[in-house]
Amino acid sequence: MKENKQPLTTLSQQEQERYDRQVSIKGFGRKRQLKLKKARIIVAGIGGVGSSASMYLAVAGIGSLTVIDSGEVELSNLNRQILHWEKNLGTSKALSAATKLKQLNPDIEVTAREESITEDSVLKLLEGTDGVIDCLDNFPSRYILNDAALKLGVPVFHAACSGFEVRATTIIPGVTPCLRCLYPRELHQAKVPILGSIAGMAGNIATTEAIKLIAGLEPTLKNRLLIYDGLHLRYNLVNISRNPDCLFCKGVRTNEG
Amino acid sequence: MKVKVLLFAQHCEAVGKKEIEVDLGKIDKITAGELYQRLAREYPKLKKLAKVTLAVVNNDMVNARALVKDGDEVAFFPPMGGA
Repeated sequence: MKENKQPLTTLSQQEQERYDRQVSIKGFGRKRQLKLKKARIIVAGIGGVGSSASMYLAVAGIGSLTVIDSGEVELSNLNRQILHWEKNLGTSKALSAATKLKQLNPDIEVTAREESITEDSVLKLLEGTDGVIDCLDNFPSRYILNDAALKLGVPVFHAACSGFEVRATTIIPGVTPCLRCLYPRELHQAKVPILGSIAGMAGNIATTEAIKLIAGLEPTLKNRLLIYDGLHLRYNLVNISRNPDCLFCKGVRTNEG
Repeated sequence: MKVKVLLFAQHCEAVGKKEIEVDLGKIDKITAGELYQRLAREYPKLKKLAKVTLAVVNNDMVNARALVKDGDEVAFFPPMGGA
């Protein structure tokens, strides 16, 4: 993918015009837009949640975006994975996504990683990033991502969905519960039923969280789990706490000033 | 005592309702775990979800030993990992 050659200390005339409608939000401004430009964000999993998450990170002007997925596009993905189209069937999801993200915003750097999140690869993949959007579709991979993020002090914007429901939280190592505090046991499901619009909401919530954290805007979903039930129109914000006995985040210190 | 129980995801499907009012008669305190066991006797499909069930009392996530009192709002739901 083409690299972002824009200087990171200023907004070009084109960028000022491109981002004008968000820079003009009260309390946002050019300084926060520059923070987005300097940010390096990873989207782990380019499925239904990752599609919307990465699209809105791209158009918001996150300077460096890396999309990670080892999968290929299948027909049954197309009800929700809106970055992948029928012409992409059988091709790499990471490449399919990166190509379109670059077209959505040519001013940013987009990198495709056609690989799985494994214990061997994860630390190298996350090194130097400002945050990772957890859009993975299975608990083992989500736990691997969680454990590496704890080691590196990388914020994780967790988003998941099933049926009409969304769950999201913002994990700050050493500050908030980690994924293993929140979900000490996983739920095994062979196939998770998902409505595309709900996956999109999950991704958009996580992306909004990432943008706010990078831009320095509060409050966020730190120490809170959002439950959204789109079928019954219910919205709950549950207070969550670190498990003092969690073997994975016990002793993890915060990078937050 | 009476409590309101909210159910999400597979727990909502298992019970067939998004929320239920539970009348515990003369009982004046119960743990979240005991409340779940009582519900599972009435709604047997909840039994297979017991090991993964998460509990919330008055908007705070709690463990199974947490006490539930008259008028409390309790929620039960499973972990969610799909995308």
